[in-house]
Amino acid sequence: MIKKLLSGCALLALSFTVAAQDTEPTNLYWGDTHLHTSYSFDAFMNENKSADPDTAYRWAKGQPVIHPYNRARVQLERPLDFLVVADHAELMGVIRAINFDLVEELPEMGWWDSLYRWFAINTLNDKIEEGTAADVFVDLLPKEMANPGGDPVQDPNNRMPTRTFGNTNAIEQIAWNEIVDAAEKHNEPGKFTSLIGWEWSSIPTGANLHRIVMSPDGGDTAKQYLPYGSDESQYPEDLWAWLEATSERTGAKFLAIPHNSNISKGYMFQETTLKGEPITEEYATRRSFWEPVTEITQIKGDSETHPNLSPEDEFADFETYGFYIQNSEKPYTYKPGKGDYIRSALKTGLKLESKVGVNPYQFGVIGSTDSHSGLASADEDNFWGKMARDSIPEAKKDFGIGRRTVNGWNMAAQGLAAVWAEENTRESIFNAFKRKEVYGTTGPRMRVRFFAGWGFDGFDAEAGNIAEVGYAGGVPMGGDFSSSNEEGATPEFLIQAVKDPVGANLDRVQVVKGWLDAGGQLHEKVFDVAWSGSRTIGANGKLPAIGDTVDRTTGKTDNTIGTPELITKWSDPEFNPNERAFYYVRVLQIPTARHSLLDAIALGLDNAPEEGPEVIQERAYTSAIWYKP
Amino acid sequence: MRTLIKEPLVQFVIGGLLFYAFLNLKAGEPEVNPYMIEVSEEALLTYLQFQNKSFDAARSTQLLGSMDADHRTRLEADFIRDEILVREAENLGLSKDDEIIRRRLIQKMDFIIEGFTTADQQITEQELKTFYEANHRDYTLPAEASFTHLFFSKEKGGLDVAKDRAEQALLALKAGSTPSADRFYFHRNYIEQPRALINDHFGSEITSYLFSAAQTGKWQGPLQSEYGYHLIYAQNIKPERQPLLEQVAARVLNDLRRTRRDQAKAEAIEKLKRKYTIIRKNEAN
Repeated sequence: MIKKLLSGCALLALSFTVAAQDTEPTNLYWGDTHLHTSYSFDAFMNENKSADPDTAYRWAKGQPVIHPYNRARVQLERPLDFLVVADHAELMGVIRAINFDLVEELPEMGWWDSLYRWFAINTLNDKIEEGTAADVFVDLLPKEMANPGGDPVQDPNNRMPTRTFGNTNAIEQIAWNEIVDAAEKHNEPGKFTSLIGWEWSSIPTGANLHRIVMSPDGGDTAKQYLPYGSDESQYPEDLWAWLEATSERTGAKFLAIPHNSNISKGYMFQETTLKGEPITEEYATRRSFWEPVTEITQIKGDSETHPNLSPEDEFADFETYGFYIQNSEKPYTYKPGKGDYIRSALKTGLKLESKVGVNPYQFGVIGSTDSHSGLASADEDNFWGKMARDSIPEAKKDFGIGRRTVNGWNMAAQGLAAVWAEENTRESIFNAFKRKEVYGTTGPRMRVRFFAGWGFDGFDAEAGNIAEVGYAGGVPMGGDFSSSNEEGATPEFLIQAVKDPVGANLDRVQVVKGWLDAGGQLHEKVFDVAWSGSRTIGANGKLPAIGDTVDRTTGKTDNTIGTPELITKWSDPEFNPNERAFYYVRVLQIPTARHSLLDAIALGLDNAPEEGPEVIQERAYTSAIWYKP
Repeated sequence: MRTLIKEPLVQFVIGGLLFYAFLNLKAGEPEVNPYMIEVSEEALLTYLQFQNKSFDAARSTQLLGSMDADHRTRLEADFIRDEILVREAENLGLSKDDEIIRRRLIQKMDFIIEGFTTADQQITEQELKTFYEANHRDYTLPAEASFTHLFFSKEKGGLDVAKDRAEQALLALKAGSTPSADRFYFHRNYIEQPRALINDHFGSEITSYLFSAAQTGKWQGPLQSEYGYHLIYAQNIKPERQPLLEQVAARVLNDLRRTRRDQAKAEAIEKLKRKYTIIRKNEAN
């Protein structure tokens, strides 16, 4: 990139006019921090036997690869800039640890049933001797937590990952070394970045607390440890302690990225610790240090907010995914809570900060796929499924049959991580994550800038100096700012959203604000701040819908509505200098076909699958900027 | 680095062979008492290493030696419990018809076969050249262009107005003055950018023109894109080209290794298959 900038200057000299548009302090890089390969056992058992880390990197670099299940030659037309192969620590090439994740995702393989049979026979034998056999079967059925709201790890129904199948850590070591070697082989500073990582898959009684761990360090450092799994502990505090200790021992740097808070049963962003203890300054400091970024959107749904939590927000019901990872023989009700979603977590963070002085939930957001096929694919028209097995339209309906559970059409073709970094290297990208100068999209590559400050006088939309003025006079996404010395000053926000060059036009740009009032109450509000066309905000305070140009026979969108770019300087009309607040940007595309509609057209179905809407408004979410009085 | 990759694999293969040999030996031995569990120092050492996920024999021996009585009793109890559970499970035949165990066995066999096939990959320079020549299309470098452009948005008064403005601007350029233009949504300057990216930003019409008809060092246009009209000044156009083997050697080598490995694995499995008679039942005629 530096080379490009330099030769760019040469060309500038050669031509004439030209502002400094192409020489911004940060560049935009696209990647996926959450990709599973055949080294994850659940991926392997769902027919991904061949897409290993090497395949994953070749796909990400835009090279053609063979699909692990349907054997088609597949390719990502626009390569990614970085990738984290994040296989399950617990399942890294072995069956040592039993994880609830598998229950949901491997229903018809029958191994869970055979495991239960194993318990059943043993327990039954004992009980027969004791003469209490009748209650055995009731005991054996996996239950929801016995004490909802309590510590799920200590819940009597929690089954810790066990070593039922014996101990095979030697294989795990081989697998880890191979994952690390593949990352080393594919890392090309300036061109493509591989970051070494894994997934810590804690899921006590079906409460999803998973974290991706990633490190900017090289293979020599990574081979000094084996990934920490939830078989060591299901408490995130213990993961952080391990990261701390391993960091000290080996010099490795780490960060952890929680994901799928939407199915955490309220446990991801609680007002207490997982053990139910009050959050202290020490806990908040550690958490915000190790977990600067959270996944807001991925294949298993969107975690921004839920219609029940944000009833005023007409765009809240987007790729809502209400399927817990647990044995779902018995019907259950999905209960979205404020511990489950990111907007409510950002709000809770303000409250906790006012109590203990540090905000444990001051995190940035990204999207990633969580694909298990080795293929990071977040495009509706190039989506290769959650698992390898649900990669073909005809298999999607059956994926997960036999249980009250999900299928391939419940899955969402999303998301991507966008990073504003100086250069495409491990160090530079990792640092951007640490300072939260990152955002997430549901697949399309929309370019989004967001700055806050106390006045951007030199800003000129037509001159294209948003980055120059934004960095000089304010803070970018992920940052925070404090009160102004000037009495009655109002903060300003610079926002630019550009459509994906090959994607659909933009509908609108919104600012989502959350704040804590003097009485200790939390609030949220969505402001429409820029939009396409000549629409006006109605009496109900809402901007009318953009319309829909998706051809139901081809799935194509016509860019006759919307606009390629929205750019604005906005100031908060309701700003109160005494209230803690956060602001983040949400960009909406015009409607485009969901992958399930494309499948329906391909299959010649009369109706699109009921698992999702025909069309969706894809979106970008920026990391927030926090106002701290 | 290569020895590092190979080491565990080789160890694994040797381990696998030893285990196989052990099974063979055991088959010849008189029946051992299936209800006797031997708690030896070696067994505990292995068990401990697996538990700690640390395979440093010297350190583990030290750790085991310095363990207090309580800790050691617990370790023994865990080892015995696991051993009992595994044997009881085997007695109950639970390893039969269990998909996860089948998968595990398949994976282990896969490892072993792969270990054999990757171990003896000696690749000569000539072989690398031959492979590269046979597959040179996979390594073709994309066409690239360096250019700048002036943009006239259709958002300002429509397409016709944009075209008109562009034509006026071209005249101004030719007269030596500097016309004003609109800010483009993506970039103004494109330096050594691949054809695919230019196509993404400008569409196929401008891209084809740029790579086939455009002259360098001269303002040209107006050319229409999805967003309006453009005047283009091309500095340098590089056609698609074939890199020297040296430039892509690492990737070619990896691809050749992978191809060889996959071939060798397929052959190894084919060889094994010859031992078996396959009967197809219930097949439709």
